[in-house]
Amino acid sequence: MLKNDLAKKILITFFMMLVLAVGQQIYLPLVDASFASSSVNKSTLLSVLGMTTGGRMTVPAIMSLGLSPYMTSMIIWQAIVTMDIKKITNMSLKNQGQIQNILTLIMAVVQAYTMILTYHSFIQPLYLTQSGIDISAPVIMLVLVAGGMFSTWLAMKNTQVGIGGSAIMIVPGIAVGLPQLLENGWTTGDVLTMTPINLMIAIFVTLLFVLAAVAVFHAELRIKLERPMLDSEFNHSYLPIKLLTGGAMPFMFSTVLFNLPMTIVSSTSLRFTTIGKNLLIWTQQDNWRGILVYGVIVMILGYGFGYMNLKPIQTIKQLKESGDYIFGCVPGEETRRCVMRHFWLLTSIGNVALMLMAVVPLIIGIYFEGYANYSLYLGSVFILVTIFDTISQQFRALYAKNAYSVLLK
Amino acid sequence: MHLFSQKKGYQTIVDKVTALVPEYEAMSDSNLQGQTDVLRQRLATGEKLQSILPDAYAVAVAAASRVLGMKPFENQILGAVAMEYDNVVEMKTGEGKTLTAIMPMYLHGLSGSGNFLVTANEYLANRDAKEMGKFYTWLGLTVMAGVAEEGHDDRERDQEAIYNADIVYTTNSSLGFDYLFDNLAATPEEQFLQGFNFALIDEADAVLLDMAETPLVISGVPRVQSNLYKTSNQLVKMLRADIDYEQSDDTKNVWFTDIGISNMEEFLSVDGLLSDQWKDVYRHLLLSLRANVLMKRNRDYVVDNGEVILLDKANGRQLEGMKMQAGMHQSVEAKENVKISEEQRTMASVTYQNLFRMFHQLAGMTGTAMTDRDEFRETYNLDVYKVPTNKPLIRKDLSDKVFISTRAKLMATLDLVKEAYQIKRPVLIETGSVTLSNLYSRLLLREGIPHNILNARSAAKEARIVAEAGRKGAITVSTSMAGRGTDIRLEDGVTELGGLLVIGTERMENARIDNQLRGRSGRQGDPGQSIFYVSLEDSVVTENAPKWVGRYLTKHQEATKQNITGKFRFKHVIDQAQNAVVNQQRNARFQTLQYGEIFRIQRDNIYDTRNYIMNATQLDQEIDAVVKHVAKKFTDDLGEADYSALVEFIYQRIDQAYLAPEDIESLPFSEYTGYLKALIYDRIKAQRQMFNADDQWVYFERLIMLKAIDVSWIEQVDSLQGLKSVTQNRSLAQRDPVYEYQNEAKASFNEMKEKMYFTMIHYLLQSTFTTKLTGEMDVDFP
Repeated sequence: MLKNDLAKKILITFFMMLVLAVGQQIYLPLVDASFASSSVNKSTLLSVLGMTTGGRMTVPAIMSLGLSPYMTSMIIWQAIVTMDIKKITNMSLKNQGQIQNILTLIMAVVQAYTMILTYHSFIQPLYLTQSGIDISAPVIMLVLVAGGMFSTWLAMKNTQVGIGGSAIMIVPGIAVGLPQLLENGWTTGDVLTMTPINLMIAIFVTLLFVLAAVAVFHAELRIKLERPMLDSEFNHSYLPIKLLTGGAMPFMFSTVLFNLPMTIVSSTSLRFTTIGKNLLIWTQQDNWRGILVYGVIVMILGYGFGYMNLKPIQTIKQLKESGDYIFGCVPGEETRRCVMRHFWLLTSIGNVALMLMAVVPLIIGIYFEGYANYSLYLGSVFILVTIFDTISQQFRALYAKNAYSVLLK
Repeated sequence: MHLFSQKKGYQTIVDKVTALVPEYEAMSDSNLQGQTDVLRQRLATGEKLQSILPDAYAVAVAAASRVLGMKPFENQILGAVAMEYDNVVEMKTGEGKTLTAIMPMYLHGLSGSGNFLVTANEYLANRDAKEMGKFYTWLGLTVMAGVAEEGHDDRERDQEAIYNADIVYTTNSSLGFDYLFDNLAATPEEQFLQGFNFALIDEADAVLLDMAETPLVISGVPRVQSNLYKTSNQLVKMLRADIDYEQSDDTKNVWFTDIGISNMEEFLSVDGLLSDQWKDVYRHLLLSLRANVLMKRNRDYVVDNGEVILLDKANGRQLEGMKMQAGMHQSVEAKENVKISEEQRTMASVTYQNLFRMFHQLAGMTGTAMTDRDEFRETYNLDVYKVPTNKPLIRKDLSDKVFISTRAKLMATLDLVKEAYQIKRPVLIETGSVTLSNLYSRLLLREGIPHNILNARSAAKEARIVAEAGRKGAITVSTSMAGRGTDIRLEDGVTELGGLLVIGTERMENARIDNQLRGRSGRQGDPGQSIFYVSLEDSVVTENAPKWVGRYLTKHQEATKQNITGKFRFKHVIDQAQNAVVNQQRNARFQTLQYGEIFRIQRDNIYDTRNYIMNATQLDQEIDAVVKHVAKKFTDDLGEADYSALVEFIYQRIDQAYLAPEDIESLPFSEYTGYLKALIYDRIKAQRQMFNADDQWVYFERLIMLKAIDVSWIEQVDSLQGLKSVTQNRSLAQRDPVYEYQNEAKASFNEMKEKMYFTMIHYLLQSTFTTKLTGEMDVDFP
């Protein structure tokens, strides 16, 4: 009976992923697809952002937004929760869910608008009869937002009845886009042509990387907790802080932030100003200055997301109120300092690992054509590793849940 | 899935029932009584309960009017129909829930035993079993009250008769404890439950929701006693508020400040109170702090006869036999300077959530359910069905009057009471706690107003008082529990006075409880009024309202104008504060559910195994498997040849008379397992010879296995309770705490199993016996 349960869940998830994939193949109305997909590929911003958050914005399809609105709104919500506002924590789960939905909707609208701007030269006009008003943009906006909300619904449904939560839905998108990412990732950079040697190097590096990534992802510091209100000989109590405190999130947003100035500058009149030109230099990955800026961005995101995940204010408050404490640290302010010290140390070390993944390939890329793409490629592989880790946790738990027996056979 | 045609569907069935009633009413007594057999026959041939429902209900209606003199109204039949289809039926007070319930109970009683009607207290269970019992027995079904009669001991009950009966009227705690004790039984003779078929739960919201989080716990097995309670208490009493310790805004938590810790360190001449060395001392100090600051006498507990007895905050009832865990109870005992009782471990535990989820079919009835329909659905798969009142509701629910201080509020309510008393209009006053009800009583005495108080001491007396609360000039003061159970009928002439006036002197934690109180008035189309007086000092406000309310209170506490009703800012403060509490409680219950699920799986496994062992006629195979396992595990754990460890193990666990042979040192490691097995089998033979009869030996095997399981399970129950909180911290490393709990619980269970196998062998091989004159044998466990 259990096996059936698991099999059913897998089938459901598979079906949902299929629906999402199909939806990303159905082109939007009113957009000249062939023209659009050829030139828009040039934007790293759209391609990477879309890919790492479950969308496919390089193609004008109805579900191009994919899970991107959902993922982005989740992160915004997480940030809000970190601030520990009483009004928010007192809200019912239902209300919290409603607010998250509204956030998702807003993000969908924003991202749809971005897409429309990018494609605007390829949109065919649609006139309301006789009035001469071009409603093509609103129509496309509507379709895109609907597609985005539908994808969100699929992801949430999967959390309920499928396996892998909502994160599994972005796996196919990433997996499919990986080869392209390795070849062409930095669209403003060199192409890494897939010669047999390069292919072998790619496979070798990927395998090595996956092993290392799994190890690094599992690495965590366990701060032993003392729990006076619990009266049992049980002392597995600990406060875990992962080495990579921010998980894979720095990668999801590092390229976006990095490319943002460039996208803004090249599509506005700023590109003619000196400031604009300087900005371009500093945000191109093919020179030392750009690499430095990228490294700084990754580091900042590493600290930022790590802090968000740690939720120090809530954690310390919880510990204080429940009477738990860390040996040698007075509950309250001193414990916060104790914990933060560990946090800074760990995140800094973790950032070194992030640097290896993100910056080293860029440096290599200056000397060897195309190797800069490894930076994006490895980042996405890492995202996959983290998602699979969560899914395997679920698998194990489901499998183990009912498998109990007392007597020996 | 219920679509909007739900009401129509039920109505069709009701029509079928009412069409059949005349036919049964026309039957003679013996014919009508014989219908029970007819219906039972239909069930035996494979018909489902739902298909014989119209006839069964029609029989019930006819019999009820004949035997009880009460014929169910159509809306009662509608409620009864809804109950059969997985609903919590919302029927306002006074609509006759007790009579409605007999129909589904009769229907299910036809299928045999295991059908329960669960009520809130023993008095009601006994009363209804007696009154409605006449109806069931007339129709040929057996009915028993599952609780002891008033004044009698629980242990005097005939449990066998009770659980063999078709229908049992019982309380939720009685049922729960019987379940737990059943599973602590050593022999099948000590087990009485016949399975959980159908439960109809009265006051379903109180039982399934409000009480859901509190688990039923059987404690036994004393722990090692600590003597730090008194000294910790003395030290803590010397600390100063806000300097040495602080409280959280909602006053539910308290902690030491660093000043407090250094002061205590100085006093105790200890360096590093927060270090590993002194953690036990710190633990006792923390417990003492919580006992002194958070637990309030006469609100959370009373001191009665040199004992600390917990109070149910909601209704002021004493919770006999319930104690706080993890040393908390002992800390309160030290605070109140009474004898420190023994700390005990949990032997068995179940939550009401899990208890009722074991039933094949559930139904509920209450006056207030709609607000929580989502939760009923998610947790118990029950929908909520609102039955329209027989006569339209004309009670006026007035809006709250808001005051700044409690004093002003209570004085204002007094004015209202005096007004009503002058014209002899009956009033029911609800207070938030036992202390407050006593206080109010004194206020009334000062005004010279005679009144009754309900203090939750005797349910029978309570029912009588409440029943009289509708008489002219009756003033009744009570706690929130007065909302449930007995009907308040109005005396003649009271309707002209405007019916019963219900005054709430504070809003409770839940709007549902407030609505229950309102529902005491205005039954069956009577006129009535309800009004709540609230103040900014009420606990629901101080604990849950935003900070600005607290500041306003401090600033204006002594102001002359205390009535702030109508001030825009305060309009929604109470509602929002209540909502905050409700949400917290809901989230907590949901969590309890998730964790309870895992516990349930383990517990079911253990109980099933116990039952298997108890009923097995032969246990040799199982023991054999254990022997082999233990021998192998010991060797594997040892890892390499270590003859002294081997010898010690044999000596301690297998045979105390063992003498190691000279060449034991040269025994190769690969032969350890075989050597152990041989020794164990020899020892088993030796033990076997102590018994004359085969069945005695099997009985012994059974006994040791059960005992080993029980002893190990007790520890596991203890560990699981702690594990829940342990894994909650892990959400910080992006790990789902529920998954973590699952994994850790599994690991813990496996650890327990290993220990259990070794314990079994230990008991099997080293128990000694004394034969009595009667030929019986007594077993002494090692």
